[in-house]
Amino acid sequence: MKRNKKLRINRVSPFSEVLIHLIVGGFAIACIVPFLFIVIISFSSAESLRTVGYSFLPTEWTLTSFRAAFDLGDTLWRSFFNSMVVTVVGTFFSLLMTILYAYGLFRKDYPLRHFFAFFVFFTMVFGGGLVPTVVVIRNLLGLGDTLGALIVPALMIPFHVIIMRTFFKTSIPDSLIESASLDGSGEFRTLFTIVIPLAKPGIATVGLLTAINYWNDWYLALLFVRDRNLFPLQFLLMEMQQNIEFLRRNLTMIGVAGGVSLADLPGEGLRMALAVIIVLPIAFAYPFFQRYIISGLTVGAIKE
Amino acid sequence: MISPKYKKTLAITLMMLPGALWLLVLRYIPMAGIVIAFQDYRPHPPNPTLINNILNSQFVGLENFRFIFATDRAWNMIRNTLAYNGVFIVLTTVLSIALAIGLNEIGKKFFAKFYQTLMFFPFFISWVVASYFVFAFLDPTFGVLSGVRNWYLDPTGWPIILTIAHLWKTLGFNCIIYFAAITGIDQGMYEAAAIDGASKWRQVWSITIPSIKPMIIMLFIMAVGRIFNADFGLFWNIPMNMGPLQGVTEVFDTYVFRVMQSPIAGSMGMATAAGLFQNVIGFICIMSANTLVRKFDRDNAMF
Amino acid sequence: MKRILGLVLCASMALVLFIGCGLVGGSNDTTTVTVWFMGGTVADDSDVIAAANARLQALDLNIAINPVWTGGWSMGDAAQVALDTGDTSVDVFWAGSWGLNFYTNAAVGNFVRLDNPDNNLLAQYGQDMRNAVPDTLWNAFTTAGPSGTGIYGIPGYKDYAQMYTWDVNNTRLAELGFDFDEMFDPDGFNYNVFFDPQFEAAMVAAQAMWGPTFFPLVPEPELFVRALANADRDMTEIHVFHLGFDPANPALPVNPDIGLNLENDLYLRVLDRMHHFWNMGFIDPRVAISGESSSVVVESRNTGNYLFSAIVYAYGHGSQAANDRGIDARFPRISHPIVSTGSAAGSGFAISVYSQNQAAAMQLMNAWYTDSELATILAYGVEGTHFTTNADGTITRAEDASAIYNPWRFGMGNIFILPPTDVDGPGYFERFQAYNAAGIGTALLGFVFDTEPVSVQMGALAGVRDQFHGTLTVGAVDPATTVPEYLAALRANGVDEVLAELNRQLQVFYASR
Repeated sequence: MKRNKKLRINRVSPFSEVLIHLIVGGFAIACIVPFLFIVIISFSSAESLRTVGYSFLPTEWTLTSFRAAFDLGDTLWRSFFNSMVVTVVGTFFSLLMTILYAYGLFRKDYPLRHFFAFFVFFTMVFGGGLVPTVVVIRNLLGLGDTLGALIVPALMIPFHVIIMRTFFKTSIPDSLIESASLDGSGEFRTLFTIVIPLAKPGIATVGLLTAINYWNDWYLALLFVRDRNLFPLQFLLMEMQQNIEFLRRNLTMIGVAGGVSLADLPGEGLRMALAVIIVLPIAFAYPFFQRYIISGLTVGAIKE
Repeated sequence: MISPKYKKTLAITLMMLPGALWLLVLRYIPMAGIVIAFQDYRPHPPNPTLINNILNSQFVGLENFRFIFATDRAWNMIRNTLAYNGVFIVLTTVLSIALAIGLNEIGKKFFAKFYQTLMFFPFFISWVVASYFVFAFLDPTFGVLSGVRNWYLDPTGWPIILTIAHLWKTLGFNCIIYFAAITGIDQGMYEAAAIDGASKWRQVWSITIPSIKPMIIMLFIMAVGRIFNADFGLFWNIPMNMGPLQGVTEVFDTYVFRVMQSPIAGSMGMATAAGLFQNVIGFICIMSANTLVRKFDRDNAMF
Repeated sequence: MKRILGLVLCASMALVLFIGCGLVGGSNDTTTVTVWFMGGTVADDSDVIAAANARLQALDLNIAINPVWTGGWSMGDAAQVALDTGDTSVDVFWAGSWGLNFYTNAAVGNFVRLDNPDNNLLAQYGQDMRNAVPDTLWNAFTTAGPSGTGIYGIPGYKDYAQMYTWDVNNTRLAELGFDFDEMFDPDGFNYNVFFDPQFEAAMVAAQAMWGPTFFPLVPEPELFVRALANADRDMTEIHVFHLGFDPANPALPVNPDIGLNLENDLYLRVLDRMHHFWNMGFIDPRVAISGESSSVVVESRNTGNYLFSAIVYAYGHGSQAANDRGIDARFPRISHPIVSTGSAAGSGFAISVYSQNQAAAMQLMNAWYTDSELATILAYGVEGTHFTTNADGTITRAEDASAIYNPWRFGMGNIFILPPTDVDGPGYFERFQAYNAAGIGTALLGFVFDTEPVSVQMGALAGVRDQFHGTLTVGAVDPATTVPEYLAALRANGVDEVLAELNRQLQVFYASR
């Protein structure tokens, strides 16, 4: 109550606020418009695409594009499940490792922090290239053709570690750590009871980036997964779309495939339908993360 | 008796361990493979393991790097890569901070939340799909702007189109990072400043910016380190890989991709060489940026 | 503290579990051969593979097949990574002139030489297969590699003769009052029609009748010009080299040496004419946009919204296309059916040098190429579940089962030991064979260009090609200004060195023949 009152005093003028709404809101709308456009195209008929091109006002609406995707049936749901497992498990362990590593880098009194900072930073710029990395994951760790191969290689993202450390720096005063240490709090307790609650906005942000990273990944699947039962959603849909596009382009060259006729193949709309199907689940998950990013305000106010 | 200081160091080291181990196995061990950049890498049966192949492949010196420089087309793409990235770094940093501050000043939290959710959509839309949105405007047959010129045959305007597309895709993402950093700032500081009569502008300059300075510096250094890595999807898909636009759209990553697509035997060495080249340039840039930051602001240097 | 330890333990247990999953599979006595196929729609292959393995046992082969199905371009990328990173878990790869490139991988040494004198897998285990597939195809899979010049792959036995034809919408042509038989000669090679005043007049009439957004001419970039200029598909994929042939006798090259398309008179005349048609507004400008052209071309043909187009004709395409589109589509010839290295090497299989079951892989392929029952199971599925056999010997595919198991039939090894479907009709494969047999080998059949000595130039030329080729070959840019620019860029990036190397290798090829 008290906080709200104070905040109201420290507000920008109504004119400025309108201006801010115009700029920030305008940009936000610019961000969503292409997505709405994609939704519209995914419901447009092939005939409409041919006669008026990509348009906000198609001449004819259809569900054909979505039908092609949902015709996959069990395969679709199994891939959806795989993606969920990979995203949830991966994000959890990734966040844990990232927080633990970033905490050490953040502690000014930790003597090895420069070494470990360089240790992680160096991997951001230098890598061994594709071949040895795949060989290590597949042969040394034995992760070929398993869900593990979709999780383990993305567990630590150096960029996220460094962002996390910076969030700690921004939101946690040194004095707080010092006083905790004087109180005899152990490092693990300090991390879990003091640092993590204060750094919630940062953790939510990094968690969000990690989850998106896992959800959107298809490259690891391309590298490692052969068993169709293990395909993540992104890869399944990408492969399906490429296959159709491939047939469309090469049907004359590769010969008439048994039973496949060009007229039956879904067209451009399919690509858009797939884009919509992929975005929706994580877009619905977003408010969950957002709560924590916003809740930083409350935490910040209590700190005094 | 273990001293408390030693105990503390040990505890923190223990925390670092899972991450450090991961980095060691998945990042450092594979680095030995950099040697492929200097080899004509081939399988060597009857036992073609990676180590065997490396040991038996011929060293060719800097031969694999030749394709990066030794052609008539190289300098144009190097110029494009550096120029676009330079513009992108400056614009993204300034505009996303401005947006984040604006977002933070919105009184009704519902709107802040709503805008934030919307901003985050471009992050999901692949460049392939986004290119269709651009196409809807520039389509020579049906496009909204088709009357102006055949955009896909004329390079005029493309630097601006690509910059807008880049900002559209990345601003929301960066804005959310900065916004989260801003919400982590102690509100008491603002309240105290307000009571002292500091204007909003003054608060932004003397509280917000200094507080998120570590984040700004960090993201800036990271971006500088990627000065030679261009966003492949942006430069390949948005201009639809149109030949006549190549003069202003060809960048390092599209250039390398093009070469790799041509049927060349033994391109593994060339691909590794291209990656290594980007890494070395990135490393030099980051080290210089970091040294510069260190000189003025030791605390906020990365290491 | 305990909580953390617990979590770490959980993580490591999960890891062990994943690793465990990866190690399971394969009993001791049966050798499992993994074959990576090119695409199709396969959602569930369990019944089919069980039946195929039972058949293998019945053939006295202690081998089980384990297929990998990946489609489209992702197949090429994923399979290439598997080869580049030395994946021992895949034994046989589909490889052809697209997707996973057969020649570059054979040249690097990723594929086993099958007729290696030290260990002749083909003679030991594949003699029946060797005899079942014509020599022409084996020749196309003979190339230079680390183990010497020899056979590095098993040809897919399908349509290997390729013919360029027009694709004419006669329904619309007749509506405009033009006589198809007057314009096209059913027995000749109709490449000169392009320069016929009638041809232009028909398109002018078409736009007068259906408006300026009806685009009568639908050219596929690159292909259209190549077909009309009688230029063979060059094996470099750069498409700038002129391997021209005489349409009446493809076995004779136009010139003894390979030159540049841009210096060939017919090619330049076609380009000029294209640009003229572009300026007349006969061509949809979207055709010039690489990301869009294929969908525009396919849509225009499918919906019958075109007058003239050209295709690389595949056997059976004509009747199916006319049927699908519901129009009178006609396909008068531009060339003979020709057999080139490219058409013969369109699809095939190769044994990975990383495979640990090379002998078993060869035995499996041999059985698959020669045993009709095994081939039928792998191509169509299980009788009763996926298809039924009719009295005339054709099969009828079960509608719902084909959604679950429907591999790309032409990519399934030897298609000529399969029964035809009811859609094909009885005698389909006999007619198909007659078409193949009518194919004439081009002068360069069997020649494969080893790009290694000029790989830097080849990479750079690919960039030059991307810059000019697509727009030039649909007429979008003016040849008068673009051709000199294009030529200058080719020269600046070493095209002359490549040509010299190409002609040197060609002379060696001629001498060895």
